[in-house]
Amino acid sequence: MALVTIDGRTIEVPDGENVVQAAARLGIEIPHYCYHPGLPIDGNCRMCLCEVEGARGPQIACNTLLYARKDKEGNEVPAAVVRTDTPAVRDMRKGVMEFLLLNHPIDCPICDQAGECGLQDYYMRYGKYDHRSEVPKVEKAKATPIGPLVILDQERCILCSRCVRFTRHVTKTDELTIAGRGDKCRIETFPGVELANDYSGNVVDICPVGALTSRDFRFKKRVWFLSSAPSVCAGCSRGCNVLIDHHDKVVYRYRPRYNPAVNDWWLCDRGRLGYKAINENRLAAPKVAGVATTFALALEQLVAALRSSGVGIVIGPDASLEDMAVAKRLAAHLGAPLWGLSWKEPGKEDDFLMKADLAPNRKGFDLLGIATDEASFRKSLPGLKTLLAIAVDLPDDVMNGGHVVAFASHDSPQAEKAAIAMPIATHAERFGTYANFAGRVQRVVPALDPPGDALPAAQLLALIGRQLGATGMPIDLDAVWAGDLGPQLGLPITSFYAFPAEGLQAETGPAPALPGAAR
Amino acid sequence: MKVLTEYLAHPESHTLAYYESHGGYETARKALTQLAPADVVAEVKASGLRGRGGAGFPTGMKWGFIPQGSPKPKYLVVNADESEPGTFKDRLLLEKDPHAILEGVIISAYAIGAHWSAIYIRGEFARQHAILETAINEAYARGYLGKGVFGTDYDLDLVLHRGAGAYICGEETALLSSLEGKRGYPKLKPPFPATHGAWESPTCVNNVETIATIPWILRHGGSEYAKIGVFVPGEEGKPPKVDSRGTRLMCVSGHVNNPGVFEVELGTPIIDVVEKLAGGVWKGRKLKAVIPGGSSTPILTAEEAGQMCLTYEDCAKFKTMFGSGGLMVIDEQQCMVRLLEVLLHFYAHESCGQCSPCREGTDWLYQIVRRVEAGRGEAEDFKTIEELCNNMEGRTVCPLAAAATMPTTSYLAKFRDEFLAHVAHKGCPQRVAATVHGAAPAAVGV
Repeated sequence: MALVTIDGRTIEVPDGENVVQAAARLGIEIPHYCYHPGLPIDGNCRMCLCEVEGARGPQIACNTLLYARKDKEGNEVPAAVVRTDTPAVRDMRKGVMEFLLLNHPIDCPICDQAGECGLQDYYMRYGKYDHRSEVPKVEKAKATPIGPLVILDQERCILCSRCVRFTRHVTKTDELTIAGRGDKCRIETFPGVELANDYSGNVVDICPVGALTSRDFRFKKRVWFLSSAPSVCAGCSRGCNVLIDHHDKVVYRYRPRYNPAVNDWWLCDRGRLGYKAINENRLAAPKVAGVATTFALALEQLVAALRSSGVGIVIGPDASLEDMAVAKRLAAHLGAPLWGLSWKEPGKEDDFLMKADLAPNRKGFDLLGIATDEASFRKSLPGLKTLLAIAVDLPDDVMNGGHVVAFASHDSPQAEKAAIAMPIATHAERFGTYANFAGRVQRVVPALDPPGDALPAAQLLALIGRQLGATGMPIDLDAVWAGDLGPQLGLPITSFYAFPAEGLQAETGPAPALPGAAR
Repeated sequence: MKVLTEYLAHPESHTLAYYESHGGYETARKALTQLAPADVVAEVKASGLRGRGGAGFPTGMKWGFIPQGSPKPKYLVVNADESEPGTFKDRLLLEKDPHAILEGVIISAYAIGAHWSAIYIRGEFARQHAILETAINEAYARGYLGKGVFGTDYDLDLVLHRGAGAYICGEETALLSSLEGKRGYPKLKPPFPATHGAWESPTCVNNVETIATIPWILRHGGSEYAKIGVFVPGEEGKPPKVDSRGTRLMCVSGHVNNPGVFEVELGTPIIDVVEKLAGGVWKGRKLKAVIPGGSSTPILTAEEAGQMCLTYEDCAKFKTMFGSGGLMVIDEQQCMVRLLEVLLHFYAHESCGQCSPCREGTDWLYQIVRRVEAGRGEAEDFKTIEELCNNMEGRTVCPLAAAATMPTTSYLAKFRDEFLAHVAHKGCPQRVAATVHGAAPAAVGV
């Protein structure tokens, strides 16, 4: 541990931490563009210049690393004494802002970054100088697509090199470079190469200005209209932490959310585009024999179907832990067999974030002891009169062979064919928890309301259970956690609402380290 | 006193045969067979030799920074990327005395414990590259390089690496980036090359002239070298008052009758170099100004130059720098605004573009000075220039920004009248006068 004094306040920080991070612990913002905690230090933007006692001239905070230091008597002394808010430092920031904006086009009204732009923010906080340059701005290429997801505007670029370092050190794919010299410098892809790696969208997130924008998101919505909800990507069993950005019942994008135990700062492109499913082709009203009907009528028929004997329940790995816990209680009440199955095709897997298992909660079957044996399911199938399918797409032969009642979030062929289809919420419209492949249990909170009559599956199951006369059906999330999930997972959660943002590790051994992540 | 140029007049001076005929490689052989590396370092420390590339850092001390306990390999890199405008001393050594450089490399690499060394040569030096390559091949063939140098168990490989034509690659960390195969970007300091240089390993970067001086020092002894030049010890426990020992190659260019490279003892008055060695200011004109150490060093007026001797301390006294020894002489008819414009164009063109103050600032400065030169300047411009210089200097990754701002502020301070006259006359007064009187425009520029 090292001591550091910043603006007169001394704190202890881990060895090797830099002054930007140390200041953040004290709630002091040191403005920076090129520094990103997930990338190697480059020190090119010069925005974080500070005064460091005893140093020759101003120093950049990002490259001022703190290590334990002792004086001659062996007393621990601060590794650095830093001042971040003197008139001289304010002048330096203003000076750097002026250089950064010298060749930056003032096209904010048509720039998609406006509203979340580092230049706008810092200009208002640290710039505010009077414009004094008559030098014509350097002209470079604008609106150049450089990959399927990313479009480049060289003029807006401040050459912080975050994107270059990302492709060099995180994905190790090296598509991007800086070409040219002096103020003719620009970001370019290498000849014949496009920015088409599986993580290309991250360069949009880490670009502090409007140089790299998303081809998927741009011009769809001004960012100041968007609200964000912390959630988890449901695209694969990694469970990367995301922010769901939405407005007026429409999800516009996912952005990665930092979680060192799961995804660091990053998100794969497959997951990033996964938000589209939330908006499209949703089942908003129940269907009976493929015809939309009222919730009350459908529920009545569903309860009647489940009341008869010969019921089986199959739940998919897209369901949350709460759904699974309540399904278990319902199965126990009905004396019905319960399987956790899915027939999803596996996707691409790599050694970074992407997992082949495209379901977010398959680990939940293990953790809650739900049978995943397809053979026994197949064997029991002929004897079942009613099969309740929760958040799972059944193969055609099963679908055609029996009396299926389904909980479906989307208006799929399954919802069409099922005897009764009840609409349920996706992960974006509900509270819930998902266990990723390593047993990390992570919480989602609703970004929007479920469409129409849709309910979270757990809530719908509890409603049905109560109508069937089952006792102990939970009345809310806290009840699920107190009665079922907390004890079964061995997690000390007394209230769902106290769930930590970075998730909790269920007792399945330590979480594996992130392979390939830049550290 | 001649340390570096004694044998250069001979037309065959670059050949191995001639070099060996006057005792070449004997010093290196002696050092490797009879001296311990620490003794070599001690000898160089005793000589008082300071780096001849520009910063003037004591060479022996620099070698001492190489951590000998490090498990990483150690590297010696010779900076032959001589690009500072007005400097052409290394070119002379590369052309005329390549074996002295190689002998210096052998001794220096041995001293710091390096088994791999490289000479990073400026891309434009095609002829010098060919000469040096021949010399290296000769040295390898004789067993002076490679496995078992001089029959000892000391191995040393030498790689000749050609740059691609960038001024910034003369900056030691940018040179190392380029040597590693990356863009020639200066690296952040700390860490310093002595511990994290080429490929993150301890690396010593020395200038060609420094390296070429090493054989002489080992041959005659550090104390002999220390007798050349000026040395005034400080009071008890204080650093010396004057520590400018040895000789330097001064590259005299500009408006003199006899431009060229001259080896001078440190402490020689500048005016002696201009008048005696370089034959005085040409065309019988008066001296107006002198740039003492390459284009990036602050300029001296004729009056200042007349009072100044070539020592590091005098340079500091007159707020300029010894730099790389590129002494540029400017006669009375030159326009200082035009001169600054030319220099700033160079620095704007050569800024690597890595960090923002230099990338944007060098071109902005150039654009303003160009406008002033063209007669569209305003009095406000000089305030802007001074503020920009202040915002650039000392706030960048490397000293290139300072290389542009130091001359700018010194020209503006010492020749302010000329700048103001450009504003008042809406152009260069010389050119305006010439046009008004119908005469041919006076020669302007360097």
